[in-house]
Amino acid sequence: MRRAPGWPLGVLVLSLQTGCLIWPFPTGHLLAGRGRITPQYVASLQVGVATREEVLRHLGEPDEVLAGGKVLVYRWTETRGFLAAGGYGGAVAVPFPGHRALRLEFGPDARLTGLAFERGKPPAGPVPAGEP
Amino acid sequence: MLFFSLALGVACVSPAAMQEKVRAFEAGLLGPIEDGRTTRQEVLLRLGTPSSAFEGGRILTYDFVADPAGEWRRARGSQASDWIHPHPRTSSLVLVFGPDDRLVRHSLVKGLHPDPPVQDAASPPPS
Repeated sequence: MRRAPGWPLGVLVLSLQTGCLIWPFPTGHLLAGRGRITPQYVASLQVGVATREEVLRHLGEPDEVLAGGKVLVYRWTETRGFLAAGGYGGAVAVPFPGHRALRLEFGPDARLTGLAFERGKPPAGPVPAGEP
Repeated sequence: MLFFSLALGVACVSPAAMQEKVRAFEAGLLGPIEDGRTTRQEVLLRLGTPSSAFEGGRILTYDFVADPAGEWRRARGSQASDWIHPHPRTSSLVLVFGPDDRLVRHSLVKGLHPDPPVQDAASPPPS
């Protein structure tokens, strides 16, 4: 006869009834920022081909302009999961955020040399968009 | 009760009304903008200081944000990455000028998804 999984099942049941549960389902819902950029959305921006102008016309105003315009960064925050807490007769679920960014680098000829999706918090303090 | 009803009425703008405000905003913004004709001076006089300028001012960008009531305004003094949803609907107007300071191309990026940018909206094809 197969033995039932003991303590993991107990923890699960207890957390559902009286405690907290982290529900790591990344729904991708936007929590902050101008929009969530998907790889599909930027598929038309080819490295070595796309220009800074094309990038700006496709993605709009960047959140950060670095190195005199050689680097543009678009940031947003999306739902990475839920922290659920409950007791007898009530429960609450709070989404926990995941910070995301798209970093685009340009060469001296204003053509795209690199495109990368990044994770993690933005640097402390706002980085103003400057005149490249 | 009356206060609650009024608060609900202010907070809940119907999608149709929101769409109408978006259309009015876009028409007002893009109507006077015409590739090949509009000059940099006209843009600056009409829209004011751009949010950002690139490549020596060849490319200007203007950021806009809609409040919960659907009213559009210039986004000033805050980073878009800090805007908390579901509050903002955003638009970014990108203007590209030629050597003669006339508008060559423009694009209105309405949020970054799911809608693709409106390329050269409200402008006739160049003759």
